[in-house]
Amino acid sequence: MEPARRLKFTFSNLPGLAWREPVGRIVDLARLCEEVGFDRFGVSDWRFMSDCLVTMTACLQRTHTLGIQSQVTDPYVRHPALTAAAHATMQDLAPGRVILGLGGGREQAAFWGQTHPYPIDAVREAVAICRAMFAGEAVSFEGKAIRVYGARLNFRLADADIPILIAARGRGMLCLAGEIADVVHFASWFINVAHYRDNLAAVQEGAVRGGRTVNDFEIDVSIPVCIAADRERARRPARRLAAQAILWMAGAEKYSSGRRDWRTPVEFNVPPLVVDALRTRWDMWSQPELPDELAAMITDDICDQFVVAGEPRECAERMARIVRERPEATGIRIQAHPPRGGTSYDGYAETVRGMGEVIEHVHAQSSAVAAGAAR
Amino acid sequence: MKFTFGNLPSIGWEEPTGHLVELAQRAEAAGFDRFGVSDWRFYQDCFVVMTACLQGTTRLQVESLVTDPYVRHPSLTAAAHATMDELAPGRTIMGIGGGVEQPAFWGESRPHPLDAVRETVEICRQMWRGERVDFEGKVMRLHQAQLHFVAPRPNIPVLIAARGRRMLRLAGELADIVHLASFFVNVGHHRENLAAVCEGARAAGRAIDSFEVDISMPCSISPDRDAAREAARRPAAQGILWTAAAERYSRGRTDWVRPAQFRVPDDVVEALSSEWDFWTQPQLPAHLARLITDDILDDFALAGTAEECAARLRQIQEDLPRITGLRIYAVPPAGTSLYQGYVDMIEQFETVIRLVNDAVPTWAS
Repeated sequence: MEPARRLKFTFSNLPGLAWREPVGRIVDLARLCEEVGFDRFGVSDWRFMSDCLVTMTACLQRTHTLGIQSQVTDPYVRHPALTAAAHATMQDLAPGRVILGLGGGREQAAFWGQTHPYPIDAVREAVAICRAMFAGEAVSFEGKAIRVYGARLNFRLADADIPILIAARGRGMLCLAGEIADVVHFASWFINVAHYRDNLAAVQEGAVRGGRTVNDFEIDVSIPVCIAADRERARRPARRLAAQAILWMAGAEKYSSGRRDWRTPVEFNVPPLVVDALRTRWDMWSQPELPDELAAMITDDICDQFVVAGEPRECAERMARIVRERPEATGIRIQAHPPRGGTSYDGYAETVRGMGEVIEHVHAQSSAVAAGAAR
Repeated sequence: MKFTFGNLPSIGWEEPTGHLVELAQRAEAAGFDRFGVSDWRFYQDCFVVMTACLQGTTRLQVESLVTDPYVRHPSLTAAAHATMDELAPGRTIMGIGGGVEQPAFWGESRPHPLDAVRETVEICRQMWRGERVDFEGKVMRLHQAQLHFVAPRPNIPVLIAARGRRMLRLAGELADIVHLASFFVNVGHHRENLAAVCEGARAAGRAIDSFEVDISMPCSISPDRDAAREAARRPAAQGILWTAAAERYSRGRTDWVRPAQFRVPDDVVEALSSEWDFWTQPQLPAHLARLITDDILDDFALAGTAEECAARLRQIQEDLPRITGLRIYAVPPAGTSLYQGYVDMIEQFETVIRLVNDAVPTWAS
């Protein structure tokens, strides 16, 4: 019988704007994620939230099987040689459980006046430096964005295989991810099959360039999720996620508006007046809450283009459908948002527990499909 | 007297990261107060190791010993230490130095180390207080940076490691823990260092007893006295080269004056300087070790049995009553794995710490 495709589920993206708890509670959530069946836990690297590397280490030490990934760091925040050493150290502490996630870092403010030139080259060069250092090589490198001279890890890794994830939304970065990543991460927040297939085509193009096929790497898809036992408690905060996704997909927020490499997908179906209202009356980067009058503009139809939200059962069925429509995907990365009420930890924990039901359902469906195919 | 174990990982250390955490646990059990984690490129990452040590212990304070202003932006250093302090409340110390001895792996420049340390401390303290920081310094700049979480302590202790006179003054002016980093175990030299520290403190209007003063103590301790003394010749040689300004990073330093008390023959300094690079060679060649007589050795290291080392520390304590802590730079005797050597030496320190801290302080009576 053909083995069932067992998807890997990743929880993310903490710490984030809505998070108001001590860092120890992130570790508690990682433990809860492990308990309900998540495979991986992504830790964000947002300036100046709890430090990504410290939080990752704390999560690794308090869990047993969960993969812990930077989701995502970038080539500019610290030199890639330091990023390599930090991930190698974590791998040494928890072999086989560390993933290095990288993105272009376009959306990080330049707090110390640093520039972020050539993000695609910078990611490519960062990956080359990290891989060479993981392998124990002395790295000398003069790239377009990064340089390093004679950097070598002063310790040996028993398991040097640290997967590298590249998060991509734009076509150039998708191609690069297809060419070199171990985990290609579709970072777009638009739950649309045609858009997924466009992204996949770009990744395949990159894979060909790298002499690879899509079977040579993982494909991870971002899905924003908000789950609560009471449907309405999930649907209202889900509009916050949807609003963020709308601004990104429309290229209408401050970091997207100047991007020449971004085209709004033809399938994007949000009235311009909604986009314009969100763009002019809300800053997703500084305001954790979406004002009520803007949330009211996001109808159920619009919301469902971007977010899986509701009771656990309906989310499980929708997620199973999403997975069926994306047979190449090997993983789902949950961009979680807490439902209303309680502390932010309580909210995230409720979504995580709801996801336990979703994960179980998706795995069961995949097994059933595989069994059917075998018959 | 607060005892700090340091300085791993460093040259020769080839053990898994988990062994560092185990050493921290053993240091805690043996009575050490603090555990210093180095930030040497490209050993195990300092902040990852610190976090792992904090999580693996319950009482021990864990400090970066030391990071510097250039390796990553100080605002990231501030956020990392605040995150660790949140994970292990009250147990994180930020140690910083000028970073002049770190190779420039990515072509970075390291201008004005004194200003860089001063500015880094200012940035970190402002961020820990929850302020939105706008800063245009001589070396550092930062715009609108603010922690997105409340640091549990706005006053995470800052240690400044200093050997040169100007950094000593800066430490006296700013640090919660002044670390006398010289490897020259000479009372007169340390009194001069303390005078520079006091000068800085006075200039800043600080009371002389309002901060801690920690001294570096290179050492090797073992029931096998000869083995300990043999092992200690390596840090002694390093101390000689530093104090004589005869190694690659010290040679060009305009702020370093060889102490008047330094009495190592020139031919020994010359031999060490020309035939050994302590930055890349973990072992001191035997023919060079033989040049370091017992008298010279005792000027640069604490070496021997636990009892004799404790007696010497008590004497230092008596001679330098302003000292509040000792940072142990331990080098284990040869013969076992490096890890086992450190394990054995930490066991020996249980006796040393007891003998030093349980003794009636003669200077107090």
